[in-house]
Amino acid sequence: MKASKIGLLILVLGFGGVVETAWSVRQNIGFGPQGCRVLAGRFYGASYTFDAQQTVPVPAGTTIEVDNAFGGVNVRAGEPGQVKISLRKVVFRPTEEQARAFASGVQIKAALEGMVLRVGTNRDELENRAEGREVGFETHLEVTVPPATAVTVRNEHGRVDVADAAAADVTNSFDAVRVERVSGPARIQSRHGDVAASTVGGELSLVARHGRVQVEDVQGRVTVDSEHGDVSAARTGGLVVRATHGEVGVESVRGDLEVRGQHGPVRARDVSGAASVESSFGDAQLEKVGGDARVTVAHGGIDASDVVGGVTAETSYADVTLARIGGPVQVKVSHGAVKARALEKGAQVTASGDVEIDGFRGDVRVEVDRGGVALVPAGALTDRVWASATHGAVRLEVPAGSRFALDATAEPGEVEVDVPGLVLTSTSSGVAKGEIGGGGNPVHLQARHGDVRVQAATTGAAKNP
Amino acid sequence: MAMAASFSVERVVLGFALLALGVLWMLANAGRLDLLSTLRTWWPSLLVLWGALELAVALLWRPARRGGS
Repeated sequence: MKASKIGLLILVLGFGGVVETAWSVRQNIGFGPQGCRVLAGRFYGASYTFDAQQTVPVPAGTTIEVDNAFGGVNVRAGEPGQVKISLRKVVFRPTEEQARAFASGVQIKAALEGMVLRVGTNRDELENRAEGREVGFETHLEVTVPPATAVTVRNEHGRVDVADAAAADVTNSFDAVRVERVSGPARIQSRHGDVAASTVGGELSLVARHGRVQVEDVQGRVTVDSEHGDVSAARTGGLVVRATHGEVGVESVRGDLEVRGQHGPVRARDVSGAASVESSFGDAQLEKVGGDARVTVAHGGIDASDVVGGVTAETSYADVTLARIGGPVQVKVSHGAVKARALEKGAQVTASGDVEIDGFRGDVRVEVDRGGVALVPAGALTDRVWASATHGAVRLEVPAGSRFALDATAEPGEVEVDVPGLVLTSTSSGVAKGEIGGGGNPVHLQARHGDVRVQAATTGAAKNP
Repeated sequence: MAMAASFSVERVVLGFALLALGVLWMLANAGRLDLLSTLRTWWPSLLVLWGALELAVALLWRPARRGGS
């Protein structure tokens, strides 16, 4: 190929690259109107502020709808029978005269349609004119509404605050949202910005795409759908959380808790009802659950304590820790160990790691691959026990007053039985059978490539206080 | 053959490119179009034009060379 062809090819492709890059830059960074820049939905540059007010008398029960684009919206309760609207106009122009001239055209729009008062500005009209497109301006609205008014706010770029309303419906795109002291239901949708909702008397539905979510003191049921950001909720009714990327922290839920997480740890404390947690990556921690707890984690540890009901836990590549569980326990762990204390209604455990259960009542079935089993009953052992370990030892402590029929095998390995009162009826290499207390439910202990040791209880087992 | 020797695909491509760029720039200055978006849409046509010319030269001149040998 001739050098001229190569040179021209480089020239054409370079030209195309420059055009594409310039296009991409222009698409992503808007320099906006003259005299200011628009970055991330905000204007930057010289600006001047002007104010306007309007009062609209409204009949009792009127709902308020506020529409805004660039600028904050603050709605709060005031005197009955009227809505006071304060508009702060921030105009980005090089001189005050130019800004004042433009600001005089920015007006409050308030129209009472039936029982709905629509509040906004004439931004659309201004932006349809050539001058409006060339001037950057923000409109910050402060709206004082009668007490117990239902409020709807739609905003694009600016903070939204709603307080002391009968109901709240807030949609915002780029900035924080705060909703507080709402006597009825609240609905919040936010795309980019932190969201805080507190003291809501009804149900709360919250959707947040990018930003932290904080929910406190909600009487009704709460639904949170968060994509990127931590979620914290305290003192709520029944709670459903879907969190894709971020930590989930929950405290004091009156009702059931349901968490669907993907990339982040989940921590919940003081749930009066049942708790259900599903997560892909991240530890799950449950403390003080009034009902059953069901926890499934793909890659992460599980820690559950003080659960009144049963616990179903499933995870891999991490450990499971349980303490003071009132109901039946089912645990399945791949590549992880299990450590449990004070299980009141038995357990079924499948693990590939060491399993230690200290203080259990009820039937216990443990199957371990590549790990040992250590079992300590909470009191006299009379329930069924089935424990099998491959490549690990099986150890059982027997408290005084126990009654059961022992069947222990170790292959290859040794069976060692040292319990006063336990009468061996059959012993051979790696096998021991016997009874204590006249016999009873079967206690089957089996070790492959490990020993079995049955001994008298030496220390007090963990108990449920 | 003297004409063929003086004919250069690169020159044609470069000529078209300069001509197109000048016309588009003029139209943009006259407020008739957005230069960047137009360039962004149509700049690959240079490659198409170049490729077409190269193909045409290769297909049309090959018989002539055979005939001459």
